[in-house]
Amino acid sequence: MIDREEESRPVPPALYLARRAARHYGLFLIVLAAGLVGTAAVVRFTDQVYRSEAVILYRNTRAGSTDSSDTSRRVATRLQDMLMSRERIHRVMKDLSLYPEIKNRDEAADEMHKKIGFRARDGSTFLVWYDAHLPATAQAVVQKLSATLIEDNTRLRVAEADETRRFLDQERVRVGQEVKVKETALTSFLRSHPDAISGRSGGGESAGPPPGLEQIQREMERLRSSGGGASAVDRPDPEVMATVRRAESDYGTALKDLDDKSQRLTDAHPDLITARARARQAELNVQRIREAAGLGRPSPAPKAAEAGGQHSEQVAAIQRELARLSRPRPSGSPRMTRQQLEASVNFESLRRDLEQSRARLASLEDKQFQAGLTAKIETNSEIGQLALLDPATRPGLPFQNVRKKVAIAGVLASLLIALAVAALRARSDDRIHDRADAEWLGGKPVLVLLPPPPRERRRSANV
Amino acid sequence: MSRPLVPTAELVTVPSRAVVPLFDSGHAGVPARLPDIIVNRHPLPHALHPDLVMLTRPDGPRAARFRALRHRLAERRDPRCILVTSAGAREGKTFVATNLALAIAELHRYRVLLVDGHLRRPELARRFGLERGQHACLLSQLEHHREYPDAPWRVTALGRCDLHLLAIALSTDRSRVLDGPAFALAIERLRQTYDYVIIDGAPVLDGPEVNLIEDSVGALLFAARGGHTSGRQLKTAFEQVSPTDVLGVALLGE
Repeated sequence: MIDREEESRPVPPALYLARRAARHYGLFLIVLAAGLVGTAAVVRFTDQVYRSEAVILYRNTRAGSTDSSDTSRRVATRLQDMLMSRERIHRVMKDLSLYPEIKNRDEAADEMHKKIGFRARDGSTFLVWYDAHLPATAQAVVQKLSATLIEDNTRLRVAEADETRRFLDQERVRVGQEVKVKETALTSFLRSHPDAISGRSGGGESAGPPPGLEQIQREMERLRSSGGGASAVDRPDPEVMATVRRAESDYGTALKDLDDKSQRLTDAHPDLITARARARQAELNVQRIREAAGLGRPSPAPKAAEAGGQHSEQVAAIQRELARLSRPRPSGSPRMTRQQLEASVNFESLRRDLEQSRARLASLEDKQFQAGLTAKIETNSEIGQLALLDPATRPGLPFQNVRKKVAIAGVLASLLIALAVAALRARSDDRIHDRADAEWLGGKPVLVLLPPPPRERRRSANV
Repeated sequence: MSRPLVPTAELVTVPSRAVVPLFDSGHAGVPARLPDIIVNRHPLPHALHPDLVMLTRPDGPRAARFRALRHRLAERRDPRCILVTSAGAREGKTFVATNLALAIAELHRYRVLLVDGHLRRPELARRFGLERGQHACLLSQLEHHREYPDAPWRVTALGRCDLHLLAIALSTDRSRVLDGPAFALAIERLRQTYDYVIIDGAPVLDGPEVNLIEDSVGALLFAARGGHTSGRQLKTAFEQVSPTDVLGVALLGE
């Protein structure tokens, strides 16, 4: 009803269109009301979603294990794969009678799979959750999933440890037998070659087994370190002694090389000549360093006379042996030294094999111990690799409040649809309602806004 | 002797305001007199039509709006012959025409003639309570003036208001077609006597009547009803009467 004159002023197009749409507020309200009713119905029948969660703790139970492959990412991947396995899902569905409305069990499993969640938190803990329409269902599923996951993991670990232990037992038995065989072989060899490790030919009795080249050096070191004839006051400082020992080590290496080449090459071979020269040079170095260190040349006879006893004689014997080895073998000399060296080499080989077998046996025993420890740990649920840190609880409140979201979306959609309907109606309705309409649609100015004729005779007004 | 057009007694001869020199061949320089207007006074009915708000509620808001319209028209070149029309039917043409004429007449300064130009739905006689025989029908006079072009025009004055009415009888055959040239000639002559001629016309889109007589009027005033008149139709009506001057729109509320 127009009850007052409106001054003619230009109306922005957007405002004009909005005013035209606003005239159809009745239609807007009807559509909005219908939308709200529909939204209420949808909200009413929307199932809430409840989420139950459990936290699983992972412990690295391999004692002393530095296995870099067992990183947290690999563990998470492995656990997730185990959790999401179709076999587990089928088992849980069957135990809890889930998704009875879905006939196809694989489809039901796929549906359930979407609602299972798994996430690694800080590398040692993992979160497992499940979304369901009922709190009890969510809790039961998470409990089942976490329990089966821990059980399966424990079973796998125990089986692995048992299998390892079985294998190690077998290996230990085998290697033990191998050690015995090699010990027997070495003993037999020593019986048949008593001088296999000694350079003496029919010499005097010696207290212990004749040392080989390395043995000779070790014996020398041992004798020296035991203080053969020198008092603690006379010993030089450690750095000097280290230098002396390095020189003697080089000397020993040179002698070893010489020994090796002398077995393979003739005296005229340049490599053998070079090795002899190197050994001689190393010996001279040792002498110089010892003289510089104040240790003096280890002369066998005077020192042995001063120190007295077997100790000096042993050192002297060793020195003579070293000197003999460093001298070139005269041509045409019989091959006794070579045979002795061959025997020594064979002895060394047998001894080395025995030591390797013993080392392997020791390693197997260590691994066997660890495997047994792992199996023991895994069978104890409290200290196994996986443990339930935070069990699943029954959720009290819905997760994310789906109904609220649906309600908000429904209200917004209803508003938008109602506005759209009103706008469309306004666009299709070209009737003039006010001055702006007349001027906008007609294009001519409105001279006056008149109230409608009196209603009593309006029906008869045949204009 | 021809039967008088108006049987009632009181007839007033209204001299023409404009004396146009007319030289006949025998009397050079002697001016001739135009036909006179014979006014038939008729009292207003006791129960006035409620749409005649200028009479029923002269102090009301509607009457004020019509006075404002009168003022605005005076500002816009003050057209003396206004055809009130609309795009379609039932949009308030008669309401606007009658009350605009009354608003101008109430000034008692001008001679105002209200003419019924809607042949198929004449309304003025009904509005002013004129039965058949109580006024000289416009159509009859148009036919009469075809034979007697110098015959005086007979109009009806209502009560004491200065508004004269030239209506079409209610019983007129609605299948008749308006004689456009005769109507235009009549308007031309009547404009010489009256200061304002307001014509209650037919809808533009309903027929050719408006196009037949638009050239003889000074300007057009469109009536439109809020919530009823289509903007598209209004625009079409404007285009149809182009290039005749359209003063604007008198918009009736919903």
